Amino acid sequence: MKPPEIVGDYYTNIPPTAQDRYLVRDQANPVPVFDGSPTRDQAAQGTVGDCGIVATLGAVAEHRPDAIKDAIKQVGDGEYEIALHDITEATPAAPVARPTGDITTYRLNDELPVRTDTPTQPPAGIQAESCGWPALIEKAIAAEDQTWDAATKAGWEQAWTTWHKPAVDQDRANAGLGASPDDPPMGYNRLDLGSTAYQRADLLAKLTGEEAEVRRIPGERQGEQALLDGFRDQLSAGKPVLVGTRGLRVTNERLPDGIYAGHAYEVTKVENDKIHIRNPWGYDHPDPMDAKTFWEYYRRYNQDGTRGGYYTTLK
Amino acid sequence: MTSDLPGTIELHQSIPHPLEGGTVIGGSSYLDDQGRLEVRLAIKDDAGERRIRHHEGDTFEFAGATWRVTKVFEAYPGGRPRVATLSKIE
Repeated sequence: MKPPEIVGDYYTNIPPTAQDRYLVRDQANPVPVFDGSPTRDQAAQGTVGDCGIVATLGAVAEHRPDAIKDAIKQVGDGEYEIALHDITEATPAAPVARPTGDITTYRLNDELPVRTDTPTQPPAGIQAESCGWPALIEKAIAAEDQTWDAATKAGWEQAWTTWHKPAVDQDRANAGLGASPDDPPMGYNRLDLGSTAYQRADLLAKLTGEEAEVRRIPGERQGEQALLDGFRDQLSAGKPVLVGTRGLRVTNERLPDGIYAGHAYEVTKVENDKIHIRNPWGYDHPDPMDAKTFWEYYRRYNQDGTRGGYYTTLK
Repeated sequence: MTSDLPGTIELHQSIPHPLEGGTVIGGSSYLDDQGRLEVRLAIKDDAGERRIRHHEGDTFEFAGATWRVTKVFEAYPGGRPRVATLSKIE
């Protein structure tokens, strides 16, 4: 695969970068691909806005560590093969991502984009301090678009023009920059636009080879216990639970500590009727919260005032 | 080594800003109880993890250096607004 694109033409959080063999930068102490069995804490987001991917990687590492180990094979000096299950994608009409039984293997080298605006030049993407598997899988996911067929490319072009470009251009205008290109972002820039609950289901299925689905968050009508039991049952069965926050309702809205607008998280535990949630930054996790607090921040406001929200889990 | 640090850091909504060695800073902006723009910073460095709140012009310690909050940006719905600009004090 070619190095996935990472340029400064879209959202302004993407820093200037260069390609670097970061994992072997210190040849006396190279960063290993694995540091023991994969864990969620090894997946920590960088300056790319792919919180949903990082949260999903962490969740799979915690619940299905062997799936992570099986996905990566070193095939030479600095050369790796990343194997992802082929799937049929989850959609609002059919919210289950289903593995087809086939596997696509991405062969890539260990070069990672590193920030050139910082003297130590750390990775721009997912952090790679103790082990390299999160950054290598992130790179493979960023490179996926190099294998897309014409229909998939056309769908992405339409999604870019319709949904993403206006927000990106607003962001750029606020920073005094010109509009983004008409061509949609690819590679890391594509991941930087964020993910939906359906795309997180797709990734869960690609990584685990199991069916993954998007479920409606039980609301007030079903009651707090339905929400708590639903999460607790999935986690007890060893199945990841991924959620996302709503956007800001008004300019300069103040959200609770650790809760960021438009951000993906992993539910890690339900204990004493409190929901424990992990920030894919790897720190600054929100305080364990009750169902009412969860409902407020992890569901969107519809235009008619009703609330709605979804979570992603294995079927 | 403060010379290993960038001179400025620009924070964006929902995006952390990692440096090397597990040192990282992120944050969000909002109106405080007095109606002033405030930035809440989430810091992880050798001194540990902490959350601090500051206004423009305030200084704070991070990654072994002193920094100034040179700009706090409005947090608007949609998109990915900038949160704050932080400048290392030499």
